[in-house]
Amino acid sequence: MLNTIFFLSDKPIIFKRELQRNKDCRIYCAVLLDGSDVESMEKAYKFFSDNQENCFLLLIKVDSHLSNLTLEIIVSFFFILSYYRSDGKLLVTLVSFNDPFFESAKRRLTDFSFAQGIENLMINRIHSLNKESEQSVNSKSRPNFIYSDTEDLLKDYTTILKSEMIFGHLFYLNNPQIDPYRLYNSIQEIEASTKSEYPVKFEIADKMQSVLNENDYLRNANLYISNELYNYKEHNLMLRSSHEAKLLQEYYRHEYENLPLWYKRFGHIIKVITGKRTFGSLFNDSVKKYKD
Amino acid sequence: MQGKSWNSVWAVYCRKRWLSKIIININMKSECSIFFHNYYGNQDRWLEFFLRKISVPSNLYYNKVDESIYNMERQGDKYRQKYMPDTTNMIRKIIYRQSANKGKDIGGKLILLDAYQKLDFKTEYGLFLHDKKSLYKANNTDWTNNLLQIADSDFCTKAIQIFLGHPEVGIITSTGNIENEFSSNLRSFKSNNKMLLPQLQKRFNIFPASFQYAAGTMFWFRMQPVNTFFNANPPLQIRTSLEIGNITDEDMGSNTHCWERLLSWIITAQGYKIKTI
Repeated sequence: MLNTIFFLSDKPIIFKRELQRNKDCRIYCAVLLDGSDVESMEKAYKFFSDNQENCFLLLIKVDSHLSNLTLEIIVSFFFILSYYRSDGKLLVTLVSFNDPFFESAKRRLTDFSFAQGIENLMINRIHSLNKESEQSVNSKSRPNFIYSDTEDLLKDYTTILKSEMIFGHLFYLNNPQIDPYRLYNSIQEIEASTKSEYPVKFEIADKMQSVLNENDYLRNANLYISNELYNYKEHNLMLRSSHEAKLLQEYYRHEYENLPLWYKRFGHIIKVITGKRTFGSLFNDSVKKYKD
Repeated sequence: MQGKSWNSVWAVYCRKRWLSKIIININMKSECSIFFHNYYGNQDRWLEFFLRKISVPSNLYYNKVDESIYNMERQGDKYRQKYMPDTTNMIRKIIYRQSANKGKDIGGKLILLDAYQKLDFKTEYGLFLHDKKSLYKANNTDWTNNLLQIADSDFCTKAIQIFLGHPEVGIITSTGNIENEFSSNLRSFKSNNKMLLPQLQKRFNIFPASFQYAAGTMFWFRMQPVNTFFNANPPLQIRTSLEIGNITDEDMGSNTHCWERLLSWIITAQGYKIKTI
């Protein structure tokens, strides 16, 4: 699949295992939670902790200011391994018609996530769950497509496939009656038929997707390697300065190196007698010196 | 402190290792929550480690740092499907989390404690572990091996036995891993964290009788005092104050290294003692 479809639901849902494990399938659950309903949030958290194969996204309805508790619960979801990431970035969608509430929720979520080390949180906004309220399919910016009907979705999906940017769009489907497995098959059919119509375009899109993925991977690898090199450099500095290696070296010098040579040689004979060194190694360097 | 359960009466009465092992095993409920933080990758190796070593029915809370070059395996998360916990082994459940590298292992453990608090899998005991590699320490391998032996099956059994028979014990770790932050010569804290520690103690009301702590933050503990503390002080709120990256306290103190000490003190401040095996 070239684009992602989220199944909106006010309760967490679990898809068939075939869909979950199919890497090509990008149909996921988007659970719609009320920003003031702590109990539903806690239930959803338990559900997704129990069903860790189930990729999901949070849609938070923001009709008032978020409390500290709800803020903390929302951010807890981001640590779940199966939380949806778009190009490695965490995404959360806020459903709010009210600008001040949305802005406040956005700022507090960004700040608290940042304080948890999450620097790449993307906050998406939907004004309401009606398609009419959102941008049109032909808009150049990335719109939020919300559907309650499969036919409408498939029609717009086909339009997208014929447009300039054919991948990376997010669709929301707000109808629990639709079977995700059948929807996936329909999408596959549409993509296959459009591909036969525009083979070069699909090939380019495919290459572009892999290049973008590779680019993300390499950019992250570069950053993490730089961090690790810095760590190693710091560790080496510590080891070389006033540290345990130095202390060990000094201990060795004071306790052993300062002893007279005859005493040290006698010590080796005692080692042989007590079985801590092989007899042969006293005369030949190529013989195994220690037994363990 | 909690009263003695039927199990503990038996264990004290019998004082036989094999018998208390049977008592632990026939109880199907998980006894222990293992909080493991991973930075250096090798997920396969670690999951095998837990399945092989742990001899107490346990839930494994497993956090991996995603901003780590060691955790960028291209095969994705296949290891999760390979190691499915079930009732035939001692790891009954694995709860995976992933996070940024904030607060090192302490930050990871706070995320896992947050998950523990929000989920319904409550246990009597806990075990803190992580894939420690203090590369700036000359004796890092010896230290890590000594710390990790607390996950050995013999150690597990012994630790549970001690908890059952000695209600005053709150923390158990291996011999040689207890340090004291207080210097009687200086009459103050001795590490570079000495400025930060009193502020945090005051803020979170943590005043233990002794300033001993389990160095390396790998130890067995009772969950009850930990729950009491984190119910009043959410782990994620504490995590916001921890530092980013692989910081050390060799040159100056850090909140992260203060919490290394405070994680022991939140237990000992509630009247429990530390025991080494």
